[in-house]
Amino acid sequence: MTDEELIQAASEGDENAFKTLIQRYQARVATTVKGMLGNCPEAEDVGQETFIRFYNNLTNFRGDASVGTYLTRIAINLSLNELKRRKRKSLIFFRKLSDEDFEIADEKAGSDLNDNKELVQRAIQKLEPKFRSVVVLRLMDGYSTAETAEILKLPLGTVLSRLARGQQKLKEILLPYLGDLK
Amino acid sequence: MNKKIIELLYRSFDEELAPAEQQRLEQALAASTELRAEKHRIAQLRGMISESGQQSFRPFFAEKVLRRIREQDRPAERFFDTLVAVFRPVAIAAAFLFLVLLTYNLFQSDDKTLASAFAEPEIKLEQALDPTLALVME
Repeated sequence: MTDEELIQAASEGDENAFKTLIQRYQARVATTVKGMLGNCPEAEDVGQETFIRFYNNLTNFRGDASVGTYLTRIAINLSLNELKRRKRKSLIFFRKLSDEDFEIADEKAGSDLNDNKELVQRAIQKLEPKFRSVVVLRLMDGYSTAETAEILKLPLGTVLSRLARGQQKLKEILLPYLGDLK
Repeated sequence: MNKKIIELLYRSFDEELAPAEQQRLEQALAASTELRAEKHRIAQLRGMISESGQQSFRPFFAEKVLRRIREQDRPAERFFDTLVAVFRPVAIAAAFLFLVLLTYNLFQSDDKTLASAFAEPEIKLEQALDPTLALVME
C-alpha cells in the first residue's frame, strides 16, 4: 500500500494502517531524534510523540511534503524543544549539561568507546543545536541542502555556512580518532 | 590555509560550485598537499557521520505509540491512571510506616496482643468505672 492509501485508511480509524506507517518510518525518525538528543530515554519519548502528533494531524496532512519529510520536521522541532528544556533544567540546577553529561571521552571513558558509532554520536552531542540540526539532517538523514533548508525554514546560505562550521567543530573533536576509525 | 578556499572546499561537498569557483579550488588543491589532506579528512569525517546515522528505537515501538494514542482517546481513564500513579508511592510508603509502627509497638509492650500493637492504653477496672459510681458501690 502507498503512504497516501495508508494515511487515508488510518484517518478512517484503521489502526493497522497507522502501525504500518510507524514501522515504515520509525528508523528515519529514530535517526533524526537520536542524532539530535543522543541515545537516551527522552529520545524514545520524543520519537513516540512525533508519531502521536502526526496521528493527531492526519486529517490536516495535505501531502505537500512527503510523509518522511513531514515526520522529520515534527521530529526535529520536538527535539529542539527537548534541548531547550534540557538547557532550562541545567540553568535551574546551575549545571552545564553539555560538558558533564555528554563528555566525549576522557581516558577512562575512552576504553568504553570502542564503537565508532557511539563516538560520532557523542561528538555530535557537543555541537550547538543550530549546527547539530543541519549536520543531522544533511549528513545522517541524507537530505539535500535545499531539503534541509526547507525543513528548518532557513535560507540555503545559512544551512551551508552552519554545515561547514558544524563539520569544522566535529573535525576538531574527532581529529585524534580520524586516523584510527575505519 | 586560505579561509575562502576552505569555505569552497566544504561547499564542494554539498553543492555544485560555479565553474570559476571549481577551477579556483582545483588549482588550490593541485598546489597544496595540506589542502588535499584536509579534503581527505573532511571526506572521512562525512563518511563516519553517514555510517553512524542508522538508528532504531527499542522493540515494540509501534505498539507503544498505538497504546499512547488509545490512552489519549480516553481522557477519564488517563486521569484515573495519573491519580493512581501519583498516589501509589504514597500508599506504599504509608503501609510500610504502618507496619513499622505496629512492630515497634509490639516490641515495646509485654503484652503481645492486637491492642498493644495498636498502642491502646491498658485500662484497669477502676479506671474504666465512673469514680462517682465507684463511691456508690463502696
